[in-house]
Amino acid sequence: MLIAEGLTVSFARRRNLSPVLEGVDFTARPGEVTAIVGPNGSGKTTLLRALSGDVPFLGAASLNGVAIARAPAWQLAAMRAVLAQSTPVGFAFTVLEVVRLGLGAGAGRETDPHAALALVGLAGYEARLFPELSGGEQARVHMARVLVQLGAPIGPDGPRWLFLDEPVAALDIRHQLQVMRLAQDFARAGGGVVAVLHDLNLTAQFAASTALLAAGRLVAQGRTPEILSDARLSAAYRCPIRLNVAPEAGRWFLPQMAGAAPV
Amino acid sequence: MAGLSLSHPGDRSAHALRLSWGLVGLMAVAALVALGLGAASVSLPKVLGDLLAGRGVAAQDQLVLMQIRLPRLVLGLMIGAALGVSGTLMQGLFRNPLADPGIVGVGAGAGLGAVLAIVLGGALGLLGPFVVPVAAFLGAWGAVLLLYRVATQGGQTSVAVLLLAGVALAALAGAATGVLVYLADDRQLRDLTFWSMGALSGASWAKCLWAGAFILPVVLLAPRLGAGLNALALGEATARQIGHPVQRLKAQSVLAVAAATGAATAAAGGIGFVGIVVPHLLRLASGPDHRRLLPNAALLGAALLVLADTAARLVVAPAELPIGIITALLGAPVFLWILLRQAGREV
Repeated sequence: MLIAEGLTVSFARRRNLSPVLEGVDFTARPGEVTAIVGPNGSGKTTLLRALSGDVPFLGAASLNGVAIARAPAWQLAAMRAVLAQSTPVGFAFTVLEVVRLGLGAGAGRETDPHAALALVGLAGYEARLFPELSGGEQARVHMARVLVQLGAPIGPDGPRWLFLDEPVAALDIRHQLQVMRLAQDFARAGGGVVAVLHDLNLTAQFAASTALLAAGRLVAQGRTPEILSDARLSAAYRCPIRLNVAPEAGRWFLPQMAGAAPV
Repeated sequence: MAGLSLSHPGDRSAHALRLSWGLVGLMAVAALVALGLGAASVSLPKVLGDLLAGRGVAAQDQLVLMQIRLPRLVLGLMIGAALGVSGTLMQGLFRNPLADPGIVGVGAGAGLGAVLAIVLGGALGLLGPFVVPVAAFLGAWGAVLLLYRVATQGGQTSVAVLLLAGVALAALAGAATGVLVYLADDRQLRDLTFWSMGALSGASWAKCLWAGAFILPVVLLAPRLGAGLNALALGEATARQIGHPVQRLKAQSVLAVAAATGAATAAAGGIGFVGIVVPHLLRLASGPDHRRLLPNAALLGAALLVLADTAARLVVAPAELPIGIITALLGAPVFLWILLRQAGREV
């Protein structure tokens, strides 16, 4: 379980400003994808960074029962991997070398980097230089790297966790689905997935649980269909949003802005 | 890993290992050339033949080899290795191929220390062959520790602040050096100028011993920082997320550079260019994996510095040029040529 209570994050140099994140409660269960949604600047990334142990916070947060704020880097690295919005690579490493960096500080967990590359559709890219790839390809290389870091979705110490910050922002529609399915498969195999998402369609399709943030506060967290309601979304995004139910499988396609002519 | 390279596309470690053996060979050739060539003529084959046949070596040959060329060779190897390794550590830490050991204030601090000793040492009654090196070493360490303190707040060292404060500190040390240069007399000015261009001419076994005490541990242990520096190429946050103790890595890198470059500069003055070029060339040859880069940088730095020193001794024999002139004069055009050939490709 990932449990956070009363998370408050303020950046030290702007003490007089209101916190970036204030009193947020957040829970994620292994076995399902949990989405964090909300407008720009609502604190989604900050929440994920706090849960990753990257920024100091007030309040309590624990991952598999381990207090996140006090855990050393190696211990967190064995439980969770983090995919940032973008991760520039300083030197001209090959794709294989970048993926192998996920093997980390001797965590001793060997996952086949080639298999991970095949999962993200980059088999045969091993010898390509990372800086020469397209943005979408680079994003998928990093996805392979975090998969390599985690290895199996469940370890001897419990479920392992994928923290994804806008994992599909740089991807075309096919690869968006590919990466989201990878995350879903990871969760179905017993792992935990927490993903910051901008795309409400993908959220509706892949996330079982959703937390909606606005202005640094939690609006609501719960089952995705309950959270993604017209009224809540319209208020949070300050933009009229209407929900359509797709004919097949009850999937939802969002958003259609009120006033726009239906196509 | 050797032999797997064909079945592992994208894995350059076998290639880097082969490069290591090539560099060992290059270093050996450089060492033999340095021992065999010089103002006094000594025939290495003859000396070797005499040794093997159990005959004594001519007294003058023995003196030249054991007291002049060999300590100079050993010092040159160590200083070259120190500069190569330090440059690699700094480029890895700053994730920038332009970084060199001077970036953390080692050069500025050592320079100020040396100038203080040269200009004020006599007035204070401090004389002797070790005053300038000791002052340079203390200056280097003082500068690095001050910088590190400034850049570290709340247990976190900001690499950006390290860089900027380094620029400020270098300017400050430069100004203080300027004041001392203004006060210096002609003889002191000459000493200062030569110190700043670097020289191995003062090599002795004693110098080898104390410089080695700082340089060798760094050169031997630095490859252990390689995996962490590789992860740091993804940024500090990601390196931490992968499980690397980033703060410790930064502290160890900076202290290693202070020890190795501080000792190198104290022993031989300011020798530029080796620290920035060596890691660059090696990355072009076998990729940026710091686990291989660091040992290879020691080997290539050692070989290049000894070759440069041999050139410095021979070009105007029996006098000699400051080695810093040679490293820049020969190194810069070669470096430019390589960069032009690589134009457009990632470094």
